[in-house]
Amino acid sequence: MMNSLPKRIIKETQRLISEPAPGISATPATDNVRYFNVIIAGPVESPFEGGIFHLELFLTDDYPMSAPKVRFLTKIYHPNIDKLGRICLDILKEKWSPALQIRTVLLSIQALLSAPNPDDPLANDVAEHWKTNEKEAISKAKEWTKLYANKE
Amino acid sequence: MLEKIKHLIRKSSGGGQSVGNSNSSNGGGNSKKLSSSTSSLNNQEKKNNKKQNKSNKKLSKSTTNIIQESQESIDSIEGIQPFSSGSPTHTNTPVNQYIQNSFNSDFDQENIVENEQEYSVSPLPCNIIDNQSDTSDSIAIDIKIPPPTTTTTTKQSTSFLRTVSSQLLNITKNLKHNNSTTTTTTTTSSANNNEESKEDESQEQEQQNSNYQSEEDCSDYEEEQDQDDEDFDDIYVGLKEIDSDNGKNFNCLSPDQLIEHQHKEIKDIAELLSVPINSAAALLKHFNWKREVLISKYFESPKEISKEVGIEYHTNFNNNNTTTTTTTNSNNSGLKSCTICGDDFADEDVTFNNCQHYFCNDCWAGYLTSKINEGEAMLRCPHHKCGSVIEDLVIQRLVAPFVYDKYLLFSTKKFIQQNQQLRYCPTPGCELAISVRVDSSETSSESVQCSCGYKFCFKCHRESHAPATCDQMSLWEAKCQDESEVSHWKIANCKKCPKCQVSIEKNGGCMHITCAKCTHEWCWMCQRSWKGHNDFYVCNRFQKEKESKRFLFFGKLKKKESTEEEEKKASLQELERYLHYYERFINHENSRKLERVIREEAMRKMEELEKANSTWAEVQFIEKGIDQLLDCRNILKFTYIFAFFSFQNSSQVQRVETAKELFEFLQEDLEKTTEKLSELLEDIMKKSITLEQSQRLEIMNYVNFAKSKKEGLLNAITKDSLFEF
Ligand SMILES: [Zn+2]
Ligand SMILES: [Zn+2]
Ligand SMILES: [Zn+2]
Ligand SMILES: [Zn+2]
Ligand SMILES: [Zn+2]
Ligand SMILES: [Zn+2]
Repeated sequence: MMNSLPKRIIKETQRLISEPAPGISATPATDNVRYFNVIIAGPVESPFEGGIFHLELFLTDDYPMSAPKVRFLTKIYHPNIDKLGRICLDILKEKWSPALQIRTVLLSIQALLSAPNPDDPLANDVAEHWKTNEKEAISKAKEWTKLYANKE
Repeated sequence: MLEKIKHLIRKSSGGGQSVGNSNSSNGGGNSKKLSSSTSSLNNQEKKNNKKQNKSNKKLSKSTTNIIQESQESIDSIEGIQPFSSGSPTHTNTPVNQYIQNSFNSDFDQENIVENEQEYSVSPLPCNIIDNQSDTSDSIAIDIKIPPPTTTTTTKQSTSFLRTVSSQLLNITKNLKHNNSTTTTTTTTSSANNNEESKEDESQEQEQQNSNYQSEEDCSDYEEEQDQDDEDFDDIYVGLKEIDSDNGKNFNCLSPDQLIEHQHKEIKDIAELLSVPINSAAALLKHFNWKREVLISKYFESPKEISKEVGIEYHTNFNNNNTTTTTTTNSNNSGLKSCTICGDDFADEDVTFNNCQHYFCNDCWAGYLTSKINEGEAMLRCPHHKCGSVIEDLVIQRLVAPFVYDKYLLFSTKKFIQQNQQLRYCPTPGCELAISVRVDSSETSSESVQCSCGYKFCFKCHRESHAPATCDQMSLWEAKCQDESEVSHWKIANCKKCPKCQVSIEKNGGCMHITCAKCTHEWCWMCQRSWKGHNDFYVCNRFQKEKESKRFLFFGKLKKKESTEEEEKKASLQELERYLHYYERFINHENSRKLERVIREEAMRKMEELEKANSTWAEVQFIEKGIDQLLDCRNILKFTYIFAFFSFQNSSQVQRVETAKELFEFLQEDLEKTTEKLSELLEDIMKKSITLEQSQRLEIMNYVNFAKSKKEGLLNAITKDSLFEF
């Protein structure tokens, strides 16, 4: 559709690099400027604290008319993130607005790590665990964080 | 407060009633008014934009407020449902071939569908039309919702019985009328008419009089050519009147009229809520055109609703006075940054929505176009979590004209879906919609006719099925699915000559069959000799002996233990009864299909005649005749479904038995008239270019008879007067 990179993507990329949001880093791949390697640090006072989570983010041709595609690459025990790393977040689906940006998306994901929402689940068994025994679920999430989210 | 709302709803629904007829003179007035007010709104909007341009700071503050407060309360947007197709169009292909094919292929359903797309009424009544589910769940305060459907057929008949009103006289009058028309039938050819006997006759009778009158004139044809032409025009006008005096309680609306209809609704709401037109439009769309919901919610909390929908809240808005309480803030114009593309733009290259969010025109166009292409009928501000409705005018300005047309189509569809008085015509490719009048509480009048010619049931979207009810149609379809399909097909299309036993396939609409082998003339319906058929045989009745036997049989059953054999017999009897009705139902259905082919032929014939030496008015009667014939066929077809369910326990209840007899009398009468009309028309088609006056007049008379008999039958059914004895 568009051969030249839209000005908006260039601007967003520049800003992501020049003034990154705390705890978030996003760098475009060298061979594809629409593909971003994302790292989110587990928020403090969450079961994911201390973890380093890798994600991939891809901007489709009709971005910003459609939402970016985002996925967790690091295994994570979270009621709104499934085994394949897909995220259940309204703004990535029906609530997407072209006025949103990569930055806001990543901040929203970070917020989701701080406040899991088991009532709107994607990974059903995890959400069930969260609802029936939150304490145990949180400790499992911490375990997974230690196990999988410790590599650079 | 509640009382006030109720009052307003009532008031508003009163306004709604007149909507149905808005395509006439007052419609133009409305649109004029509307356009003037929209232009003033346009100005207002420009003003707003200017004001807005002046303060960026204030703007961003207000937007964040909106973001926080609008939140999730926005309704999820429903997708557009595709409308059902699957209805007959009126093109024709040789049906003989069709029957041949289908029959040879041992009833291959797919084959039929393939061969016979133009009818799409498949030979089995069970697939008549896709049943469109009604998805609307709007709260209708002013609309009479049809009574809950009766689940069993016995209930159906008892409900008929219960509604004994005081219309005994009516049916006797009907009968009288019928008798008198029958007597006139015999005298038509001689053109005698006794005006004294017409005391309380209807208009149609007068119509006939005028026809006789003109016949007398016609005898002087050669001498008074000019005057004669005038008379033919009179005749034509007369026929036309027959068509138009149906007492229609529905209108056919074009796409433009539908939009006008929407504007009218918007205007009503604007007046009712004292808000500007564009706000009213946004409110209505936000609430899916459910005006009652909108009204009650708006009166509850106008401020919150206004915010949610993204319109300005007016404490006391006057439609004539466009000066409103907008936040007037100036700002030295600089470049504006579009949050979608990230570029900076001059003022004229960005567009503000009512919610004060703005984007560059290209991004707007991209966003709106992609949403419209997704089938979205409800466009809202692209800003995150802003539910503000975007006005049509803004959309029109920003997108390509063909995209805007698409949008109008989607939003009109949505509007129709939410409106209980509106339905799209089910004919594929037909863009018209039918609007029924709110005040037509008569549940019997579901049958509507689109300007494209297609008649359908407003309630269930099937092809028009009077006098059978929608419930009976559903039961019938289920019933037909149960029975063997192959046997249906054979019963319907192939019979053995009663004399020489050669297999005969029906290839004309007429029930009068002449065997090609032995020249025996017989009736397709009852398979008896045609000779004297009209006087001695009645072929529309399910023979009484059969039925009384059956019920005697059931009487025995009650006393004795039922054996397997007896049960078998009973189900066989029941099947027999069903097949009796099915056979007659499908006979009329097939005749109707064949007669549709004749319609094409008739059109050619009319052209031919016109070229030869007749005037357009002179040949018009052929079309009228064919149309009346098709109409009667359809009614007759469904009388058998009606009868199958309505007289189920006729032998047990005397009243039902009487009603059945009366009904069959009327049915038979109409059947005879229809057959006669069919024969007369077939004759015309065979004839050469010379057209005899007597033929023309005979057909015209039969058109009138058929019409009045049809109405007599329908009236007897719909007014339940059948059961009043
Ligand atoms: Zn832009
Ligand atoms: Zn907005
Ligand atoms: Zn139509
Ligand atoms: Zn119906
Ligand atoms: Zn024969
Ligand atoms: Zn017969």
